[in-house]
Amino acid sequence: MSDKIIEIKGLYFKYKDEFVLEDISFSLDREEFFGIIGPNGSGKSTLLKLIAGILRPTKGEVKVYTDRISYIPQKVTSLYHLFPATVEEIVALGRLSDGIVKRFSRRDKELIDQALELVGLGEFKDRKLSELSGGQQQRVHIARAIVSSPELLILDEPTTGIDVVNQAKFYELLARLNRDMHITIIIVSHDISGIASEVSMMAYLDKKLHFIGKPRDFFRKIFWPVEIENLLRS
Amino acid sequence: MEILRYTFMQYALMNGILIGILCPLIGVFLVLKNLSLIADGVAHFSFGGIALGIILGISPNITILVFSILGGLLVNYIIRRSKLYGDTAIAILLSTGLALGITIISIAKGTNFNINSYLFGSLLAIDKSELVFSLFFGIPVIILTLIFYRPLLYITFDEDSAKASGLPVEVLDTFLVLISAITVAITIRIAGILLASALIVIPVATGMQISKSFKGTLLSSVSIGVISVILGLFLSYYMNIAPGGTIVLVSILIFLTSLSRFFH
Repeated sequence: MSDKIIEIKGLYFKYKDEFVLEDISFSLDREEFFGIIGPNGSGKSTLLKLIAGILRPTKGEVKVYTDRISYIPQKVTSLYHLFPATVEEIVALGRLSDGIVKRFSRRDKELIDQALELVGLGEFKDRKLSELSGGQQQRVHIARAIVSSPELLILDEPTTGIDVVNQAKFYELLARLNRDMHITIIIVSHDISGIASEVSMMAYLDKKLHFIGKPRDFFRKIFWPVEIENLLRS
Repeated sequence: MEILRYTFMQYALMNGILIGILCPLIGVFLVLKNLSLIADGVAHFSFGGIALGIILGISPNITILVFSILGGLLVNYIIRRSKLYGDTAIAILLSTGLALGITIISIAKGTNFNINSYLFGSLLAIDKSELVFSLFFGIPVIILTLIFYRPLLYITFDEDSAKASGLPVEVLDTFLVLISAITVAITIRIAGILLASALIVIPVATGMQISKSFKGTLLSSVSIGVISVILGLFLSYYMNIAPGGTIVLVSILIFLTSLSRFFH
């Protein structure tokens, strides 16, 4: 078996008449912690949805060598302020990836409890989801992902609206999932400095893939030259 | 109890309890998916079916069912494929059915067509064959919904995540539309076109006020649905008022009570 988890070749995608992604090709090894950055409207979320199998490419191919995928969409938190469900009920949804009509066993309940402990929400399991803070809700979604024992975890701007201290904790949690549970992680973020210190691979996307490689090379080749140029100009 | 000695009352009660369970059970998913109005749209659309059935000599029970399913699938298709918002699609469907119905009825002036019983329902006119029809379609819908309640919850909560996890989202979505259409078709006979969506939406709105879990919302919505039907039916019998309207008013009264501080 290849140690690649994703292979993308000549990928194009358009909404209506406008291409949002053009000629994207790259591959990703298993157990990488992969961060994607880029300006608004650069096609980051679209790329994630194509990898997660939610969208289909207009042209080119996206190969993902696992069916154990967990996806956490952008701004899940603001959508559910009225949704009547407890933390436990939401986390339990993750178990459905093993079969949609299964009865929940004691093992399922144990997995749910363990996942909630791992994300530090053990005592919140009977609380209504909407009563939790943004950061706590984000951890509920991580727990939902964990119970499906994913090989690939995809997160779209997970730290939007979360304060800096909790952002750091959140990245730590992701790093632990990557290191201890061998989960490949793909994360899209605005927050360059936040993810650069955690990720093992990084990409800069703006319709096209302008950079992919190690974070330190990103700073050396892309980030600092642009910053210095801006400084000189001002 | 005197009221239960009448066969028509027994049928009304049995049919009423069936929709008291069925409507909120399906309604929970529709309300949480922001599709509360879909039931209203489908019910109005089937008005065209009723009129068509009358002039073609086909039982309205069957044409209501066919039109409800057709209407539901159509809205679902438009919402997914067109550049329209869901409520616009529903408004178009709703008008189409009403316009079709009114026009057909005006052509068939001579026929003996009691339009009121379809607009406002006729719970007390339910005969045995209609009860059997309701049970035949209603009970499988209840059982299937309970079997698939978790995946339905998943697509209601977050369709994209469900899809990424490998759930057959399109199939589940179509399934939800189908069971909603069947529910509307059964409910029209009892609550009428104008009030069919009331029992799908109001008990759920109440359940959401008083429960914090999904299971709790499901159970309380269904309980409120059944209580509204039984209470409304008894009140309408003893006060000699329209049962459909009374049932819906009772459910609204329970909803208003749930908003009070007593529950918070």
